[in-house]
Amino acid sequence: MKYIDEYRDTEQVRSLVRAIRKVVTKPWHIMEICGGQTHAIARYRLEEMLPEKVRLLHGPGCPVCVTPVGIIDRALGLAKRQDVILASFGDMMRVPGSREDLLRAKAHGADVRMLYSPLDAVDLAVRYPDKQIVFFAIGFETTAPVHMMALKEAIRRKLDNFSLLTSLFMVPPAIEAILTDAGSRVDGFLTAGHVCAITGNGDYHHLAARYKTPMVVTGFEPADLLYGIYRCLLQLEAGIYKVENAYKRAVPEEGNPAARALMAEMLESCDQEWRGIGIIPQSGMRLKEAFARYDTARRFPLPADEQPLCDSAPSVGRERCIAGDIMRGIKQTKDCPFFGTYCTPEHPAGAPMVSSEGVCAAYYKYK
Amino acid sequence: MITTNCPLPFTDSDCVLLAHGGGGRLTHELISGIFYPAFRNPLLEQDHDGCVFPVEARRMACSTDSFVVDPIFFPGGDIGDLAVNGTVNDLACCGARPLYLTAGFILEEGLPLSDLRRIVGSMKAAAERAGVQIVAGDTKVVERGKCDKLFINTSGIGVVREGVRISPDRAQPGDVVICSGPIGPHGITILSARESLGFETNLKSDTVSLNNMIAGLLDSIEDVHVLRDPTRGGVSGTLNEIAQAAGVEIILDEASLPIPDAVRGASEILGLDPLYVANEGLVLAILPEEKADKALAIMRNCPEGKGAAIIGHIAMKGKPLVKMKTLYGNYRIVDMLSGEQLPRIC
Amino acid sequence: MCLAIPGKILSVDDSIPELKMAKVDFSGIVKNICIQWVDAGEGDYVLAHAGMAIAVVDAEQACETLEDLKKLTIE
Repeated sequence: MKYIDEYRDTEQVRSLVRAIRKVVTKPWHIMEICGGQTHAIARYRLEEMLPEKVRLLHGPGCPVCVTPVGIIDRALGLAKRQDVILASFGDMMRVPGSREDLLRAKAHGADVRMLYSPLDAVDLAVRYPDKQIVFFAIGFETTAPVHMMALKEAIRRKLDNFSLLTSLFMVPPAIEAILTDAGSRVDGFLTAGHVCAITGNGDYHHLAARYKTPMVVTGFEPADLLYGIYRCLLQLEAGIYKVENAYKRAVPEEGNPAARALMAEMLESCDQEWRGIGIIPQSGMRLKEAFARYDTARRFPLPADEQPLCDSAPSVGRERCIAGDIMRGIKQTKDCPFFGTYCTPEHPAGAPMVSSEGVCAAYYKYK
Repeated sequence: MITTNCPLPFTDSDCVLLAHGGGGRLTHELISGIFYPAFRNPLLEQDHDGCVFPVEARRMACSTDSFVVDPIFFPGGDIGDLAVNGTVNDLACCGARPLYLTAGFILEEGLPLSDLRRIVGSMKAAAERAGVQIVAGDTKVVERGKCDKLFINTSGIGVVREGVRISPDRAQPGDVVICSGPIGPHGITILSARESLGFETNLKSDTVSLNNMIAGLLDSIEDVHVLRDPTRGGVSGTLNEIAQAAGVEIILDEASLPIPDAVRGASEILGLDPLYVANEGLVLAILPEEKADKALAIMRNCPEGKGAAIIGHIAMKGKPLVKMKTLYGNYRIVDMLSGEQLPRIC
Repeated sequence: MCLAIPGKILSVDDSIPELKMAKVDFSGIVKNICIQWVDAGEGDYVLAHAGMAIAVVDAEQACETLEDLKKLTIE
C-alpha cells in the first residue's frame, strides 16, 4: 500500500535503529500519547530494537480507554430505552461500564449498532424517523470534528432525532498535566500525528518552550515512529527543545483549517474526567449552548435512579490498579499486580486494558 | 359485485409459508419441487425416515456444522455452497474421503422460494464438485423473526483409508506449516456486504471444497500430520488450537504470509488483523519439512491450492505457543482472539 | 489514537456542496469518504479517519522524508 509499505521497509527500519544507537549517550524517557502508536510499537516490538538507554512510556492516548465509566453507564442506560438506537465505533462495544458493556446490552435486547463513521449514524436517523439515534461520540481532536460534521449534516437534513453523547478529549492539556506531575519522568514527547493533522502544531510550541521538552510530531508506521524517536533523541542529546515535524506528509503546520473552524464553531472546552486519571481542567470539549438540543446529555436528563457510579480504581485486597500511574508514565504495565491475571482483555479492570489501543491490552496481545 | 363462492386457500406461493413446514401438501411440494430435483440420488429416494447404505471401511469420520451467515448471498458464494463445502472440508481435514451429507433447513416464514431454489442449486453444484451425495434432509419453517432467512445444518460422514492418521496433536518439531492460499478473502467479503461497514471490493469468498486436493496430498505423502481449515478464529485461532493439542511452539514468518492487497487494505482501515479473519477455502497442512516441496507441488497443481506457501514451522515441544517472526526479525506472540474482532477507529 | 489510512481518490461527487464525497481506494477496497475539509481531487491520496479525509498526503513531503531516511542509511 502506497504511503504505508515504504515506512514498514525492513532496511529502512534497521538503518533507523542503527542511527538511534549512534546518537544515544544518556538514558532518556520518551512518551507517545496516541493509542495507535502504542499499538504499532507493541505490534512491531519496536522497544526491543531500541538501545537500553531509551525507554518508551505510553501515555493516555486512547479515547476509548479514558472515556469515564459514568458516561458509559449513561450510554448503556439510553441503549435500553425502546425508542433509542445507540450507535458507536466497534472499539466502544466491549468497554465495560460499571456493570456491563454495550455488547451485553445488545444481547439483552438493546438496539446497539456498530458503525465505521458518525456520518453513517445520520443515515440511521433518516431510516428510523420514529427512533432517537444517539451516537456515542468519543474521541480526541482527530475525531471530534468528524462528529461535528455528522451533526452539521443532521441539522442540514433537518433531523431532529439525532444527538451526540460526547466524550471528547484534548491532548495538550493532558501533556501539560503529565509534565507538571511531580512523579513524571518524561523527557520528550512524540505527539500524535493524526491529532496534529487537525489541530496543527500551535499548542505544542507553547508546551515545548514552557516545559523545555522536545515535541516531535510523529506518524504511525514503524519507520515513522523510529524517525520520531530519532529526531526527539537528537534534540535531547543536544539539549534543545522545540516542535519538530517528523510526519510532514500528513501534518501541515496549521493543521486542517476547515476542521478547526468547525470545532471552534460548535465546541467549547470543559473540565473533563479521564478514566484512570481523574479530572484534568479544560481538557475536554462539549457542544456549545446553541447546539444543546443535539447534546444527548442535555436532551435526555439522567433519571434520578440512574446516577452514575463513581469511578474508583479497582482493587483486590491491598493491591490497587495502577492505570493512572501507567498512563502518566510513572509506572509501567509490567509493574501492575493485576496484569494478565485479574485484568485481561476479556475482563479488563483498568483503563489501558479496555480497548486494544490501551497500552496494557496492546502488551497483552503482543506480549 | 358480491360473490358467494367460498374462497379457496392459495396453493401456490412465491415465498416460504409456515405450512411448508407443516408436513402436509405444501411440505411435500417443497421436497418434491425443490430438494429432490436438486439432490436426487438413489439413497435419498429411499423415501424413508432415514437412509440406509453399505460401507466397507474400518474407520470413518463424521462431522457436523451449522451455517447462519449474513448475508446469505455474497460475492463468491452463498450459504448453500458454504454449508456443503464446510462439512466436506471438515471431513477432508480428518483425512477422510467424504461420502454422504445430510442437510437440515430452518426456514423463516416469508423467505422467497426463488432464494431457496438458488441456494439449493448452489448446494447441488458444490456437492457435485466435491463428489458427495446429500442422502437425508429435514425442513422446518419458523415464524418471521424467529430465524434470519434460513439456517442450514449439514452433517457428513466419510471413510478414512488405512495408514492415514491426521490429528492436531501430531504436529512436531521438524514440521512446516503450509497454507493452501490467500488469507482472509472470505471474512473480508462478508464484512464488506454488511451495511454498517459497507465497502466495495473485488474480493470474493474463497469458499470451495478441498477434499480433492487433500486426497491428492494424502495419496502421495504418507506422513501428513495435521490438516485444519482455518474458518472461525482465522489462521491464528487454528494454529493456537494445534499448538495446544500438540504441546508445541509454532513460529510464523510474517514476510511469507499470503495476504492479498485488498484484505490488507480492509484490515488497515477497519483496524483488523487478517490472521483472525475467517477463511472458507483454505487448509493449513503440517508435515515434515523434507516433504514440503512435494506437497507444495501437489497443492499448486489444483486451482484451490494455486497460492500454496510455507508460512511457518514447528519449533519445539514445550509451552504451547504461536509466535511470529516480524518483518524486522524479532518475535511477537500471536494469541487467540479475545472475543469477537471488532473494527476500531483508534 | 486515531486510525487514519492513506487511500487514493477514484472519483468525486460534489452534488451536495456541504458534503463533498469521494470514492477512495485502499489498495483494492473502495469506501465512500467525505472530503469536505480537503482540497483534493481524483488521483490524490487522502488520509481517512472514521469516514472523513483529514489531510491530503503531501507527495513532495513524503519523498523528502524518505530522502532524509536514506541519508541516515548512508551516514
